Amino acid sequence: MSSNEHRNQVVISTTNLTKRFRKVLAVDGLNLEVRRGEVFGLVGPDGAGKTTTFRMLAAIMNPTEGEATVSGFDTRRQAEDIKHHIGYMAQQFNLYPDLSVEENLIFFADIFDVRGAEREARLERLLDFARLTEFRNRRAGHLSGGMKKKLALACCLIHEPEILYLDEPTTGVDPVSRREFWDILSSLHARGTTILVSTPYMDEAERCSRVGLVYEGRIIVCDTPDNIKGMIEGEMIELRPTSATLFGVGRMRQAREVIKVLDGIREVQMFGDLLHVFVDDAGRRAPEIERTLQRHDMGTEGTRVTSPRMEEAYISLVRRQATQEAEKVEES
Amino acid sequence: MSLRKTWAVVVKEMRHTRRGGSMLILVLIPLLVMIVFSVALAQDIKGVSITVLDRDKSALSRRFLMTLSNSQDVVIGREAQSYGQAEGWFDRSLIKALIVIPPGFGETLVGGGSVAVQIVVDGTDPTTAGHVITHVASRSQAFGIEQAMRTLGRTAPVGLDAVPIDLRVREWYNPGLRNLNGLVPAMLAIALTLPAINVMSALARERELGTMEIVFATPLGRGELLIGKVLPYVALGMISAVLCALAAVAVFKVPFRGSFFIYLALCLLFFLASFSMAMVLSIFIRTQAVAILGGMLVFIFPSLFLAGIFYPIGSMPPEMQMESQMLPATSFVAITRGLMIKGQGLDSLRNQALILLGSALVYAAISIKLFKKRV
Repeated sequence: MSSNEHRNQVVISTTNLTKRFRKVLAVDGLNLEVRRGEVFGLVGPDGAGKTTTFRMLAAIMNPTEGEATVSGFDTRRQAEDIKHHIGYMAQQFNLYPDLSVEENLIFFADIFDVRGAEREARLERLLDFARLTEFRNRRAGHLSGGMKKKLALACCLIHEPEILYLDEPTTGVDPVSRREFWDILSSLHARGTTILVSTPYMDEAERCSRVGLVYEGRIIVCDTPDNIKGMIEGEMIELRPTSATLFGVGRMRQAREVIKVLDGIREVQMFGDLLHVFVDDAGRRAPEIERTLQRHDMGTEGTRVTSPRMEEAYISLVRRQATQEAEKVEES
Repeated sequence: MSLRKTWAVVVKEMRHTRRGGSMLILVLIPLLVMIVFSVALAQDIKGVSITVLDRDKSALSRRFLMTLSNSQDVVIGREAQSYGQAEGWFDRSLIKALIVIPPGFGETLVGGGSVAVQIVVDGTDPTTAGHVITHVASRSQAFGIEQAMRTLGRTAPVGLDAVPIDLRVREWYNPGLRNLNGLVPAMLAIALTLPAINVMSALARERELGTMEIVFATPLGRGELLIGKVLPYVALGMISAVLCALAAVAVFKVPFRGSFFIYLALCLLFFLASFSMAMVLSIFIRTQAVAILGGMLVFIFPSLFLAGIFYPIGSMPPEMQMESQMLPATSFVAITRGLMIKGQGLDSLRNQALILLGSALVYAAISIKLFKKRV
């Protein structure tokens, strides 16, 4: 097998994967293909079905319908075979708080049958890798949030899995630790580990090879971050509305309402005290926007034309999806 | 099934119990429960004071009172001068029992006639009252027979057969029906159901922490996980079993007539049965709080009332008898009593041992069938 073929091999694949809990449809006919060596990001709001998807792919929850294969094994019938190939880090802190850093690692090494000198070598390497060597005797419950996440990751890596499942690994972690955590993921990626990661942070989504936008249990868009950003046609104007009489959200709303109805405007998103205006042609529309705001006794500051980021793209795509869904409901 | 992986789980579990500072507590709790229950439920009533209203004041009435207080069960307390005075003492809860000897008591008896002796007891304390009545009745009977024989002996020399019935009670295995001898082995059995609650709590803890989910996503087998989690509690339970037996003998002076080795072997069997039952229950339990409360409801209370300690199993309604037989504690109570007090060996305890073995296998099979590595 050439290395190229190896790279393109599909390691995770789901067909119409569905999970229903009594009345809630958590995952709704999910179709997904993750190729070897990819960092695949699952991005979506809370309750979109990301955790349920991870559980089904980790073969610890059976789907209601559809199927999934991981490393060529069926999650329902060959669950135990899959477990040698994956490392799963759940969203909540999932280690033993009363055991030390080292004892947690040793436990996972033992249950994965990593023994003797090999165990010691990997232990040292992972402690170093996660920068936890000096905390090896500290109880896991006494670590900081970021260190806990790194220890959890180290425990997932002790058996050197080919596939990593990381369910919101950086939620609740400070920005510096977040950056550090992603640097670690980058080095794993460089070694060829396939990573399936969910995140609510768009800057992290931009670091993935491919991203699946999950909305209400379905993947609405699945592509590279660049292509997803490209899905928002036209250009984006960023501006800060000013006003002598209107303040805060009131000012932002007023500005949005008057801009929204102009020609060539596709979408207006509020972003703190900034407005992100998506237009067909920035050069033509920017002066018109400024004039309109002036007519309403408002000014602008720091107007600039930028390309949309993941964040804007995500909001726009989710909004589009919600509108379509509402229309569908009306039709029926 | 890998021994090494199972051992990894054992080591981890031991660390949890040691870290929580709970290892000593886990070992000592059954001992404390056995002691507290035994002391609280012991019905050996000693030295109840009986007030006397002696209207005869003859040599014979004095001798009768002496006979009553010959054992330590009752003592003759203060003496009332009149019925009214004794009544006042009852009203003020100063006394619990009164014996009234009528005038002419001695004379009548010597003449070969019969007399009525009155016992008055405080009915608000039925236990003490019943105890006094039984005691006085049996002593009076003995005194009456003795007296009758003397009288008869004086008029005509006849032998023992002149008294038509000579009822002699022989209390086998437990002379004097020492209450503690029956109670302590039963409480020991109840106390040793407690480690099963620890098993339930340990399994619920992993679910509560979310570590169960992670462990499910590893190749660790169900058997390795369950056996590894249970083994430390078997070990701690065995230590408790030894301590409880020592306390029964040293503190409560209960005889230990059977083989200690068989005792340990049957304790082990009992743990296997009760822990398997705990594993089945754990499948439906998600939090430690529920595990502990549920464990008490399932193990301690039914065992206390259904294992035939206070109420004979034979007098329970049939469905209760069935429930009683499903509890490992029922067989175990029979085992500890038989082994310690009767000195029974394996041949006599075979049925109980087989029931324990059977329920261990059935519960273990159910738990393996129902326990899935799924969240």
